[in-house]
Amino acid sequence: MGAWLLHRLSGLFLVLYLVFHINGLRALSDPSEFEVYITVFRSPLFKIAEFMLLIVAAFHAFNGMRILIQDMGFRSDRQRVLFYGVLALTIIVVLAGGVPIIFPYFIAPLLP
Amino acid sequence: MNRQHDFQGVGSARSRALGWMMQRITGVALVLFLGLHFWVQHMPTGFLATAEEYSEILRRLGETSPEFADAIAEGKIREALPGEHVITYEKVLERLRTPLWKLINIMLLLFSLVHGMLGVVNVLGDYIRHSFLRKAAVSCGWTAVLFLAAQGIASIMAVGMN
Repeated sequence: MGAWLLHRLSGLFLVLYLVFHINGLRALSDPSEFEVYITVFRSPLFKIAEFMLLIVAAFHAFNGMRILIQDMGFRSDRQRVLFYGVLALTIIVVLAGGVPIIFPYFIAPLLP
Repeated sequence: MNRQHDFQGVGSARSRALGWMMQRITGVALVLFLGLHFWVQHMPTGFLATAEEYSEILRRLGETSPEFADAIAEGKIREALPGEHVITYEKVLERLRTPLWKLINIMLLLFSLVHGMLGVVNVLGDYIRHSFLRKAAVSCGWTAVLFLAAQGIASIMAVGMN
């Protein structure tokens, strides 16, 4: 139930983000407008948002693969194990992909 | 309430089966395409400008265009932080000049829209009980998908046209 709800909520969030993202692509028609548009997203607040987006997208992708595997006949009494696998893969991808995103903004300033 | 009534407004059994299959096909495709998109647009690779490259790009653009110079002076376009990799028009243009990259981006756009809309159809089917309202909502959704697909493809194709 929890996995189902999280999948649905993350999916709806990603649909809303997709609409917003496609609208933003209009800035590609003008180079200076594009640089201004990108600069808006190069702020600490938006870097956190980008990190959160990675969490949502990675979870939705791996949980979707879990659903696919179960549709293909994986024994349903191992659902829980598969879901833990989804969480583990999400954490690995978020750490591997998310740290480079936030590094210049939040980690580099802390280094000596 | 019979099973047939439950599904009114979300299509026939055949179209629901097709939707179920498409949801899975586009989902697998998205894992690959979105993974590539994330690697290219969010990871510190040669597809993005380094802080030094970005500084050079801004200097060059500021010299050649008063519009850029004003935007930089007003802080609307900022220099990169040390170690930051920046998405910049020049790098996007470099990539999207290649027809294959344009095709990859259009495929990503279409897979995302179809996958998202099929998911929304499921949600609408679960929560809108009235058959007519459900059909109307699903039709509006697919119309929005067509509009967004056209807008997104136009944006991708426009790169490098000016």
